[in-house]
Amino acid sequence: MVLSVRGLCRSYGSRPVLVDVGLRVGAGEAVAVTGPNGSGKTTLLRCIAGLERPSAGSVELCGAPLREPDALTRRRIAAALDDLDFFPDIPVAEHLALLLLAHGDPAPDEHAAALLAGAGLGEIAGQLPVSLSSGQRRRLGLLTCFARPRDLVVLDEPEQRLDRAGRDWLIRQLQQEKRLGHGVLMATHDAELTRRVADRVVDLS
Amino acid sequence: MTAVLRQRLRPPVAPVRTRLARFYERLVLTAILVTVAAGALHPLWTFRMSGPSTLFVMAVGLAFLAALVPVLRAAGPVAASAAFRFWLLATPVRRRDLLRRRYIALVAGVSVATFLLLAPIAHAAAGLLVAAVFTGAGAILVTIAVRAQASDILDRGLHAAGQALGGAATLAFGSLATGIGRAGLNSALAGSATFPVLAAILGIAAVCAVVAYRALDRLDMAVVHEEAAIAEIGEIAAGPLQAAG
Repeated sequence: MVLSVRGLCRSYGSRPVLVDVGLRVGAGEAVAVTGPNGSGKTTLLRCIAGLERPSAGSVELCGAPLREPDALTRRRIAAALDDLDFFPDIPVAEHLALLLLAHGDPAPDEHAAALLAGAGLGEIAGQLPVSLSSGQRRRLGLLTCFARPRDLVVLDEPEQRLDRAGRDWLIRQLQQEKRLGHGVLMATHDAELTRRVADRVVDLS
Repeated sequence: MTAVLRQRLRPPVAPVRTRLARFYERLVLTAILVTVAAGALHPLWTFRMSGPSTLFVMAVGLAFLAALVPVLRAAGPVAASAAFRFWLLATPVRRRDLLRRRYIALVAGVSVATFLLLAPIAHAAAGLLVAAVFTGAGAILVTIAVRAQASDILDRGLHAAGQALGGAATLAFGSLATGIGRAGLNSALAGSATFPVLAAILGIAAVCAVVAYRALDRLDMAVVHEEAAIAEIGEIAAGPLQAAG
């Protein structure tokens, strides 16, 4: 089991957002989290990615309790939750190369160029981030998850701001993730994405 | 690894004209800041108390440290930009290596600010060594706040320490205002050995600095605030002041 969540609770002050949530994601399995706005989908994903501390409950990653400060945990989870921020003076390809280098890639520049080309972003490799469209930023954010070492991919509404071709690319990537034996957990409102990728649905409504 | 990452984070060298424009922009900004700071500090440096009062310096120092604690807790105190968090902190690179410069800048910045604020008053009353003692105490508070960022129990302890400092400052100001115990406290404080106290505080600060630096590896992303969010909180907090102005 890649991910196991038990009895997860999260409150903001006295307002509970998540109450006793449990879910499991196996290797090569995709789980979609659905629910209306405000049902706690993003909060759940943030707790699993270690960006927020749960008020109660446990999160286990590959059989061990989740400890975000551990380098091994950071090597296992690839998350794209918020809108992507950039270093303003550094070109797009350099961002990706930086990420790959930090993950120990011996040839980060070559791999970054190949990944960008494969995602249809080859023409923006040398551009500064400020010149990217919101869809290109989104696709680049998703690409970072598929570029780095991982056991679990965590995505928050990955379909947002993608055009038709971008959504098809996303579906192909997520199906590839399953074939590689990685777990996928995503919050989504997209019925087609859920139907074509998810093995199970967790409804928070 | 971090040296290579830092090297890659450097933007490409800009044309001379752009660099000159940036330099001029920074020069003007620095001149404005220095002028404002000098204007604010000048009256303090020229201030002379009728009767030099160590107790007054202690009261101001304690009040400053008490005010520092909630600021440190609200700011993190270790913070990073959203880009730094996503592209670097979320990778397996050792966090203390990534955060080292921010940590050193934080401790140095708070220490310098403490000394600059307290030195003028101490200079007029009890001598600069007292300001140095409070500077050391400020540095200790920063390092404890960094360590407390990774520990809920220590964070509660820091909160309690801040309240205790505030209480001590209130008592000191109360004694100054009412005269109760003022003469006794003043003579006791003036007669106390500042050098050994300073040496002890600097020693403690050094130990705390090492402990807090090591604790940077245990910081999780949930407690490393985004710099932009802190700036936003600052703007919201300054809103009523601007309206009042």
